Amino acid sequence: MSSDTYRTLADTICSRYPGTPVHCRSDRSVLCNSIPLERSATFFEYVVIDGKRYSASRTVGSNRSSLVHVIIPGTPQIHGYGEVLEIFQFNLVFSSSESQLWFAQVRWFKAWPGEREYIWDELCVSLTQPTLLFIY
Amino acid sequence: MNVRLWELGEYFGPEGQLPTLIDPDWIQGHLALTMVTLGRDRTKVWATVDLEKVRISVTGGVHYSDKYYTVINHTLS
Repeated sequence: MSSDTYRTLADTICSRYPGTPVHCRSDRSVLCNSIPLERSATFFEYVVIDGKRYSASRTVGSNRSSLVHVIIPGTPQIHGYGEVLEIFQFNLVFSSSESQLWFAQVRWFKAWPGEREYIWDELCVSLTQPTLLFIY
Repeated sequence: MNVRLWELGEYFGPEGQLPTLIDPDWIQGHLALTMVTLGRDRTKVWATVDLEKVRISVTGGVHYSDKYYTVINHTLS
């Protein structure tokens, strides 16, 4: 796993599972109960969710099936749109128990800030009749 | 239809508000993406649509303009 992914993984685990702090092996432990994070993971070319196949673009060399809409749970839910770069499974060993964690690494699109016509937002309604549409 | 516009070739960095690593179960569906030009200055941006919603619309047998059909055709090919 790349250094960037390794560090991001450590940050993610610490954030998502505060009861099981981890740190990168190259770093000094900040918390006394923190464990050094293994650097190996199993990477996959794709994952199937609800019968749909999503590919990891960095692994397969194409983003054809990697562009996704994501809903990040929480209050409120957050909608994200981007590209799946990598998909991997990581074994987190802590206090003699082992958990299998699955992750997808995503890079997120940056919204275009300019003005736009909002006719597209109403498209589902207007599609009930033959329609000629343009983007300006 | 949720057509969304994005800066061409731009992505948030690690300092962005959204997490870089997500649970794969959070993925809701595929997006279709193509480049479009906007306005009189012909600004190029990315446009995406939710592919599931496109399929529903196509099933309805609706006529599309050439530009709009280009978006759909690009994603379904």
